[in-house]
Amino acid sequence: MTSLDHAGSPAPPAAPGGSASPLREDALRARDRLRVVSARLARRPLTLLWLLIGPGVLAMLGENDGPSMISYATTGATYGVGFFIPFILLTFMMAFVVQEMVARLGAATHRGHAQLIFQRIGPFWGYFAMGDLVLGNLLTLVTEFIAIQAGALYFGIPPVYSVGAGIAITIASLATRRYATWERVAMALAAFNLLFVPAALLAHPDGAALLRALVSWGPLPGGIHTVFVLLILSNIGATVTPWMIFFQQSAVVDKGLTVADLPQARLDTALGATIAAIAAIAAVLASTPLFTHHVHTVQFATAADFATALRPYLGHTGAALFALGMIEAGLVALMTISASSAYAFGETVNAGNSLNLDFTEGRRFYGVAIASIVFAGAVVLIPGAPLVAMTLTVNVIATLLMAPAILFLLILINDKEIMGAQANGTAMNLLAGAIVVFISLAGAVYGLVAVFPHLLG
Amino acid sequence: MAAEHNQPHPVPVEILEPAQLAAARQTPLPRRALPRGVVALLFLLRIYVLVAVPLVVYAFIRALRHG
Repeated sequence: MTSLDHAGSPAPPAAPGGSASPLREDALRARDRLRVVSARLARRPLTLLWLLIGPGVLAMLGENDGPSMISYATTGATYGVGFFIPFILLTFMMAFVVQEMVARLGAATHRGHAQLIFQRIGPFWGYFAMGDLVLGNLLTLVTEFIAIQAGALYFGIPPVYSVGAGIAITIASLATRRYATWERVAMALAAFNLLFVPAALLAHPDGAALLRALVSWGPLPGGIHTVFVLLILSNIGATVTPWMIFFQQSAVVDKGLTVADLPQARLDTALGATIAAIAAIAAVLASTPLFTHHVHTVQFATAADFATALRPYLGHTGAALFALGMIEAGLVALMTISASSAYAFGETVNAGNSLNLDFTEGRRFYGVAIASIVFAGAVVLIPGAPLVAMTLTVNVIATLLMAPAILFLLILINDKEIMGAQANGTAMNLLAGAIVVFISLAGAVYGLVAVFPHLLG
Repeated sequence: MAAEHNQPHPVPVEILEPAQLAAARQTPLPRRALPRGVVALLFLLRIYVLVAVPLVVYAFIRALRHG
């Protein structure tokens, strides 16, 4: 029983036309739930966890996307092992706090984030939230293609082929018309985010220095410089962004998670945060040789330059792993971010919004996902487009949009009429409130530095 | 149970909570009244976004013009 059932949600009508057969979406979700209930009754905790993980892992690893990995690599190349290692762990803890609330909101209400904002807070704020999401998602999708293109360039693959392949793979995943299959395909691809780990090992990182950094938060970079502030803020923007909120809540609903599944949903989110943090720190470690050998990344035009610059230190294998990791990061994000756009659109116009829909029922849902990736791919192929500058600007904008997104989340998660016993307690509200303040201040500083680059010297 | 898994479209939709059904999710929820403080905070953050995003876009265009 959910809070909404307690609140007197109307009894569900039969399938359209009074047919006795259930909708495809309901039937497929019921099939998935049957497996979950069977595993729970048979007391098979590992099977249960395997069946229920997905939305949290994909939100976290989807956010370890192209621009995020470039940001971590720039951090390693600029500052080496030190302050930023524990700082990255802190940002992932922050992401866990936010995404745990998202999973709880989805499991308790069985409604997507956009739908709840429109219905409970009102269309005025709903359109602002959607505007933020559309802007952020379209821009971020462009940067994912930049990452794919850059990774492929390392192997000599022309952009038109790599971008075309990215579009084709994303459309093929949607063509399964089955949430469970789509999710497992995305998770299989997301596992390759860990390619950064062997790349890091090939950089022969200093274990003692890593441990010292984790314990002491040092060494601190000398002084508060513009680059330091930019990397602090880009590392925040690399961990928490609005699309993650919309995606994970809708995926929790599409997967059919209930309040009874919340322990596994929390584990899913924690597992995603842990794997993503390991891959992020690995990207920092893999690029540390550039710091040690004083290779400046300022003149780098693309992520392909990172892989090429790392080849003398990591070898061809390490550099290739780095480039492959970039392709994976972009590809998984293409799938998750386009899905978040489609979910939010479907929820806003009250149309079908499930990856279990067939193409006739879900033509607008799939149409939005496909149109958004085709548009982003086309932008990247424009000759002379300022791709690297775009990546930086997208990171800035994503950070700026995060504060209002968390406020919407806080309003909904404290709504006792829809959340019942799952509403936030005081401690969670204080923690989430502190994150809003921190991100708002960080975003403001980021904006200032972007406009006045010489403000901090 | 295993036999049911092999069916192309088994129909145990009763296994879903009522609010999980697609039709139930289409039913709108009533709007809630927000406290004034919360509305003020929403406006504040909206102003923050509306001021900050154009500034960043301006910085982007300026950076492009300066090569």
